[in-house]
Amino acid sequence: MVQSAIPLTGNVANAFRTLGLLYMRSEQRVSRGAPRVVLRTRDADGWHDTPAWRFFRHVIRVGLFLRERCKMQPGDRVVVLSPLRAERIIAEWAVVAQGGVVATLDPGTPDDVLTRAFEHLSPRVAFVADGATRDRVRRLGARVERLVQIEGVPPPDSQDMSWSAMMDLGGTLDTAERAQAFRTAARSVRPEMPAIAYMDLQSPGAPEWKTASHAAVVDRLVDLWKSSPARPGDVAYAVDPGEYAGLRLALWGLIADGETTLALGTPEREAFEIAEIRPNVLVGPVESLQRAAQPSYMLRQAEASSRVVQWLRLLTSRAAPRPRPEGAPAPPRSLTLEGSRWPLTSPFAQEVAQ
Amino acid sequence: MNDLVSAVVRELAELGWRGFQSVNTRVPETPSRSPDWAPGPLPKSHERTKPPLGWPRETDSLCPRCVIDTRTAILSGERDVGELVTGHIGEIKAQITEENGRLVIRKTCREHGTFEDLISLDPQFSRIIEARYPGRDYRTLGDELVHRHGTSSIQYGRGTVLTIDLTNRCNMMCNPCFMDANQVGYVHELTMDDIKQILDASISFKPRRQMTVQFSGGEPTMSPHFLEACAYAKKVGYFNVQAATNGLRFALEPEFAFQAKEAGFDLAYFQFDGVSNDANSHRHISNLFDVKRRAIEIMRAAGIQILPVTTVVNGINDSQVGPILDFSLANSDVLDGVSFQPVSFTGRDEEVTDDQRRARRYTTSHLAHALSRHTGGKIDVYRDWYPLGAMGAFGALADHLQSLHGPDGTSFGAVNCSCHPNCGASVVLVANHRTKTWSTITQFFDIGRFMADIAVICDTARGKELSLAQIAMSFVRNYDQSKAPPGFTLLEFVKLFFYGKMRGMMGREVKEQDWRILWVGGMWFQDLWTYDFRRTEMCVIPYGTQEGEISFCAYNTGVGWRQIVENMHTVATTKEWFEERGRHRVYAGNKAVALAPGRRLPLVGSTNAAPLGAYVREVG
Repeated sequence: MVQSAIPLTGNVANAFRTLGLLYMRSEQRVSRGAPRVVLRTRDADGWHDTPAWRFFRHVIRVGLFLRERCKMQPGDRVVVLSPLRAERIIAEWAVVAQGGVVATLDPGTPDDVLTRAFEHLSPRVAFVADGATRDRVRRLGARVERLVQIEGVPPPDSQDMSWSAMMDLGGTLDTAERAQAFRTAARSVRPEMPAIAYMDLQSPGAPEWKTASHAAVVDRLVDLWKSSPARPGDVAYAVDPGEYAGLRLALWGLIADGETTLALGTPEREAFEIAEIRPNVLVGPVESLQRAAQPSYMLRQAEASSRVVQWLRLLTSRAAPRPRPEGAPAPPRSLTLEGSRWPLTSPFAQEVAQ
Repeated sequence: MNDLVSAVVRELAELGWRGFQSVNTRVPETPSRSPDWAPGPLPKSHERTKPPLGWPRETDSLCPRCVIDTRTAILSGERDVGELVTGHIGEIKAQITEENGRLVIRKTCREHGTFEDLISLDPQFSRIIEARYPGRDYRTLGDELVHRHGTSSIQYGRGTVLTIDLTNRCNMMCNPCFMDANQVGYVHELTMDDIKQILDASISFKPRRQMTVQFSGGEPTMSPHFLEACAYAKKVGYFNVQAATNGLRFALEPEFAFQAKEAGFDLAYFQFDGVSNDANSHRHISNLFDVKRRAIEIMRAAGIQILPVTTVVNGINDSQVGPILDFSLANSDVLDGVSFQPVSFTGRDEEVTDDQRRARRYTTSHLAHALSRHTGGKIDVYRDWYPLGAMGAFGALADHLQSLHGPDGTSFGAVNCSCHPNCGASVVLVANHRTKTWSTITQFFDIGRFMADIAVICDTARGKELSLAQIAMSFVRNYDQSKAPPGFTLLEFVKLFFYGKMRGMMGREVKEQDWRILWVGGMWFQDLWTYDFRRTEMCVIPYGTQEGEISFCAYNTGVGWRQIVENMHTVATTKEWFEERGRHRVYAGNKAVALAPGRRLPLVGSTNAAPLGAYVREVG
């Protein structure tokens, strides 16, 4: 059992033309390497680590739930309506590794856009952030066969399921035979099959839904790795990418590179958290990173690495927001950056790599 | 020349030891320290008690028929489970006597008549084993909520292995099976909260014991919480996490082995009944040995240690004990020895007929003679076997050394096995996994005298420097280079002992070496015919359950706490479970397990030459 001991670079990744194979490659590489924390999340008690074994096992369990209980087939759509959190990333990976098409939406998406999204996608399953989001989706009459509520527990009389109940069931389904069937399914995904669905915010009129294939997504990740190769011990701090599909993919790339620990930031607490964990990679919409570069943070710059401070200054100087007339509504965040288009020019690759 | 130098060094050590002890033993003993983890001062050797030993002797036992009747009545609700705690249900006296060159246990129930069974076919062997027992460990303190099982309660010792049954579901259908897995009609499976509660309770009283945590079942890797449980056991402070596993999960899903290792899984207590598919046929999988070998390969790659465990049944697989020893020696780089378990008629074997029981009975003495015959006397029946409880002497040394670091030296006591000498015996070997050379340690090292020296060192309890000096002198004076296997030196032995076993007992990293220490043990669990309450109360391998910690034998046999606890905490009938959660696969019916051939994932890089190591072999 000779296993790869090298980091996932562009050359290596070229062979893995689907996210399913990439998942398996990452799982193998990480399992055979030094113990690694894949995700870090923070709550009132502090930072919590998700080691690689737990992350990959959870992906399998969600995937088994989707396959066995929701009968998800390759090409089926799955909506994830959640802010950035560990469960969201796990669900996204589980869907794409099994050939499903994942559409991630911000819970703040307006009702009309959300309604159209569900009408267009006809998702087999939707993961929603919490009870309020679940109620909203149900109130809008969205067509979805199964709803999984990430935080909290849905009413007992509903057909919907909580994340913990799903993981409990997924855990029981997680036998050697079924886990291998999960991997077999991951291997069978073809590069030309769609992997993600996203809103093209540049299209005239209402945002148009488009899909990107596994090959196209992996190409983006390869670009990312080429422009900014991962190094052992990298710690990336991610601010919620919102509607920026390119940024969401950047997070996948950081998970899959086999080296990086991805810390998921808390909105409005970025400066404090960056100072706390001292990352050497930052990912997020420019305006969010600017927030992290406010004076309150800069006063504490000695606690962060000089590289981070350098980046923050760079971003602040390059992407300073234009002055807005008083009382004017803020422009949609998703239109302020190139990152909203497809093919994507990732702010991560474009800006941070400088 | 080397032997000559060694003999001189040995003689100098002998003189040094005697000279030192001529003073040391005349100076009053230093009072033992009282570490925070312990209920009192570290016990001196003369403070340790022993159970009644020798024969003829009388002990407390159980009527095999009364127990089954009572258990049935409790399970059906006719009698209250509280009677097990407050009463003496099914208890009768038993006599252990020597008759016709054998040791037998005999007991008479007024209602069901006389029961007799074999304890040992070699009284001399049993006499030596009992004589080598160093004595009991602490009595426990503050454990009222953990040890609360009436006459079956554990009273002595800190425990060596804490077994926790994660689930009664299994992916095999074996015979024998302690728990009648897959056949009892209900599912008993711990939640993660249950597991945490059991592990938290296990460190709630004194002595706070450093034990091996062994997840068991059923097949523990079928529990959805197996990986989290390994991680949590490590988190609370246990440094060795094992699983009693049939290995199928690892053979069928290699990635799981790597993830388990990362989660904290250290050692597979590996069901292993013989070195051919035929020798495993009673497990009802036609290619089971092939599966085992695949599992070993994968666990080796993942860095998981493996201790094969063989249930030995006379007339079924007793011919395999020699070949299994050979297999362990041949794979000593990955196998830590072998644990033989003479059959205990429990679970679905409790209904065995008297004739079958007599024919199938196998004891530790059978094992000692079988291994002696197989190795041409290289493993000597009378020189090489020590009771499992002899390890308590080394535990005492580890405690003493750690106490020298002060009260904050450690939050746990060392691993300390102090079980009843009738519970089992073992031989310790050294083996070179490159040259395949091996020997019993007792061939070249006087363990008996070393244990006596340890008692002096711990009893006199001098400071760090003087203790270490005494250990060094004792070590050298008891080592005989002329009897050591080729290539083995005192230096190797010191490295093995202090960088291997002793470090392991103290929870420190064990260094990898060509020579390894292999443990070959016979663990003889009780059943209703051989039951002895003096053994139960000294159990060092308790089960951690939702109803406290229960002696291994009281749980699996005895009054049958397993069935009672499982019934109290059943989560579903098997039928309901399958309907709600899906049916798991059971490998049985003498069919083969399909093992996926290894194949390669796509080659990496279409333009550039693939970098070294970029091939990823798909396993499974």
